[in-house]
Amino acid sequence: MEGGAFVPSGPPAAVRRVAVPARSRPAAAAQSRGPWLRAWTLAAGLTALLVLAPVAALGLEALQGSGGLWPHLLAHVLPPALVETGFLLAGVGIVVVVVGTGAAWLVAAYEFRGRRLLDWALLLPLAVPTYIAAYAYLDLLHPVGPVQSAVRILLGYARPRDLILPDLRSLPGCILLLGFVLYPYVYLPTRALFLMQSATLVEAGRSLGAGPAAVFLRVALPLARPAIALGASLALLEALNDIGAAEFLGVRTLTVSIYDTWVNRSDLPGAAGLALVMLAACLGLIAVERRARRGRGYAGAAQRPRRMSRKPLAGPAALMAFGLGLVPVALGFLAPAGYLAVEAGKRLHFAGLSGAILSESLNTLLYAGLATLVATTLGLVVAAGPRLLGGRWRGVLLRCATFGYAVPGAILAIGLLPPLAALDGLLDGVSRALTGIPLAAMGLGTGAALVYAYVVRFLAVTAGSSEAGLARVPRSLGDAARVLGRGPAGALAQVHLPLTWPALLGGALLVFVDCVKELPATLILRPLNVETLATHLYGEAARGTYEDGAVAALLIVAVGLLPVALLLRVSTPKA
Amino acid sequence: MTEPAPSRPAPALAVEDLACRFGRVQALDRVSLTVRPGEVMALLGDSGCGKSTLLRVVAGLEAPDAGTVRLDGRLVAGEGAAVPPEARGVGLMFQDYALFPHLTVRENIRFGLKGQPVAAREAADELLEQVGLAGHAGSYPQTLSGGEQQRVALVRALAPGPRLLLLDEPFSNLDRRMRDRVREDTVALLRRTGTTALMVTHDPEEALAVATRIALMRRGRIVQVATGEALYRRPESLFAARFLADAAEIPARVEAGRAETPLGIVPAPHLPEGAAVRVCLRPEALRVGPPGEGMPAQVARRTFLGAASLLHLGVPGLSGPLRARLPGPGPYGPGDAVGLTLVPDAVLVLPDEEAA
Repeated sequence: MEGGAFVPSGPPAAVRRVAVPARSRPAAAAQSRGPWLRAWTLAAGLTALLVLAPVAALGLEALQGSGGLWPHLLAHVLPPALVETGFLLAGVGIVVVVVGTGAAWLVAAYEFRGRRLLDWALLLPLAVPTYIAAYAYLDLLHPVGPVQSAVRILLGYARPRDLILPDLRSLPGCILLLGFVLYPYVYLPTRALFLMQSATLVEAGRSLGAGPAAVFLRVALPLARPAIALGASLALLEALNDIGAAEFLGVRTLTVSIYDTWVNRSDLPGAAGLALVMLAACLGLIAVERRARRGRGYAGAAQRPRRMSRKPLAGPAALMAFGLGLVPVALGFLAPAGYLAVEAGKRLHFAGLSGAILSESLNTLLYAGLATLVATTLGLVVAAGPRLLGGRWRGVLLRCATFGYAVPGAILAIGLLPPLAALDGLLDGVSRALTGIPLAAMGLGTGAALVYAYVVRFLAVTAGSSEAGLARVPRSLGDAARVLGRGPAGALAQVHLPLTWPALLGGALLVFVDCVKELPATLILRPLNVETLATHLYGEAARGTYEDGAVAALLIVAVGLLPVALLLRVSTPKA
Repeated sequence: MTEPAPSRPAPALAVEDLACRFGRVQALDRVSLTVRPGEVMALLGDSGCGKSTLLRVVAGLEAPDAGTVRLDGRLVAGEGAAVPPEARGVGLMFQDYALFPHLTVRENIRFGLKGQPVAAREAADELLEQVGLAGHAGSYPQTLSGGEQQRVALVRALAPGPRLLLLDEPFSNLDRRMRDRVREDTVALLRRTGTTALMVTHDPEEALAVATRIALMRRGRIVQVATGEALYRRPESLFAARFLADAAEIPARVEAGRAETPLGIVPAPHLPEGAAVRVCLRPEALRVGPPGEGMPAQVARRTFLGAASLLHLGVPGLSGPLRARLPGPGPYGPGDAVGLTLVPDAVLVLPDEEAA
């Protein structure tokens, strides 16, 4: 979620922070009974309430199940789902960390022909949602698809059954697929951290007798630990959230079980119960991540440290480096996107651009744009409070408000349905009583519910990027603004915001892309007869007419591509 | 105009019984302090003694748990008052300077002048010129040297014309060579602008050089408030004596208003009979002469310091060496026998805090 612009700049910054007595007390505590605080507490409290409502509803639903619910779940559903999910997460975790960190080090530590290209190309898989990658690869790697046919021709086999290649529809297949699509979550922050790392640290390592490999393992890697932990936890949350890829590859993860329990067996309490178990898993993941990046100084240095210089490579070494860096790009982006482009091209040539696609694009833009606006504003509000007004319990409120990221879209939607239906009924009743005009489904019918779900789900992204961006503004800057005559709002507007807008922009872009890609919540909460690009694609796929969905898929990928360049610029420290 | 002027102007800053606690750390423990108008007071103490906290409470960046803060007689903290920092009219210069990196030098300096007349801006530009930075007005602070950044921070804090300027270790980020000059310039600027100042420092030499009075702090309390000279020459506690300068200490007991040491008997008039004391001998408390004058001693080592030299002297009956300062290289070298006499004014006899 967090772009590289707001990862810690390394120990020199921490060293520059002067030894002050440990404070549990906020800055500017003199304001502790001020109107600002009350306003903030109200806003953050409401936000937290909005976020926690669907989770509370889930709990209630789970309680409503019959007495036999939990024994059944514990005996038959949970064990296999937990085992599958556990293996999947472990595998994806290893792949994203190895690929993401390796790629980041490659472009941060070495100079070779094509490095600049790889620099941004390595981010491209971020534009491919897991379900789109899975659909594309299933066709690509189908026994009669282009890859297997080519292999057979090369090896001289005539028929598919003469050469049985490992099936993508397996746990290892799913791990590889998710890993190569999700590694940019690790690559992005880790690369930024490597780039911001002070050259002196690396040089100190070298002068103490460590070779390049040892410097990577013993200096750079431990320093990058917070970024790696952050990226890996985000990738794993994505993996947990995924329904399309796992379902289509035949892996019964917890998420798939929940979806299946609800959609196919109409067992809402059962689904809610499973969802609660999954929430626990997500929270565990986040706890591990928080622990892993604990105790790192985040305050920026007054003086920029000298950057690490890249080691030039030439000849075969340069070629090998480029080839190595190209592998994740090819697997995570070029192959699926290329396939989609070809299929979409065929389709457009054959049938032209349909009006439906156009209106679906507009719907997608509208909902995602609205949600991004709301989430960015609320994210800034909830993150700025603890930083500018201080206080430990206010931090708890922030955690609550950003809890939604741990809630996969499908689960969130299930949780949102009952309270929204109740709210719609209430609004209708009030309107009828007061004006006599019936209000049909204000929340569920207008798309407000969808925007609500997006905001709840992605508020953590904007709040997190605001928080990280604000954390990089040394506390003394905010204090200086106060002493020089600005109130909390003035300090925020004139000091914190100008210094954090790249982080805010980065967060907003990620939320926008995430909204465009989000499938399950959109499916469930969109107004009747309203299609977005993602739901169109899903409908096509469900009908088995995937080729028509290639245009929609390609558009989603294209939208995802737009911010990648900006993201890269934001995350590249100025020389 | 009709009211009679008060016989005494209100102190620029009056702090009373201030207490502030962070978790288990009592950062301020019933601190009372008065800063007179036009005065430069130094808050001197080790890191973690609470001096920075006191500064932040005065600025309004921390709220005290108890006690009051008055600026020019106006209650700003305590007894229900909690005036926010932006409304206190104090300036604060931060240890890391806290210059806004997204604003130029000129914009930084004008940051605190919002809503003030054009004349204030011109005065600020004037200040910038006085410190020799007019040519850098359009630069960003990151591009300036440490000393230049220090001056920008000082001018920025002074520009709004604060009634009280707070300085948090203002010279600690400068190298030694530069520090003396910047320090002098800063003091000159404070004088010229007639600014009352409270400066936090851990360096006694700096406090002596800059301050009209020094408040020595220890573990959240103020130990002694005095002029630099009084604090140096008449410290009220062993802690204060040690903080200001190194000294050789000789344990002794008070008998009949005097303490006896191998070097002679020194008067201890204000101390109770039988009290454990330490006789502190700073280098200037010893006069070194030829053997036969006073107590015999032997030069163990000589350290040449340029303008002076330091003799390390072995004295029979004393466990550790004594140190004496001589102007220039001095006539004595290692192994020489000398005679020591005490300079009565410079000898300190203080209650032994550790023996109690």
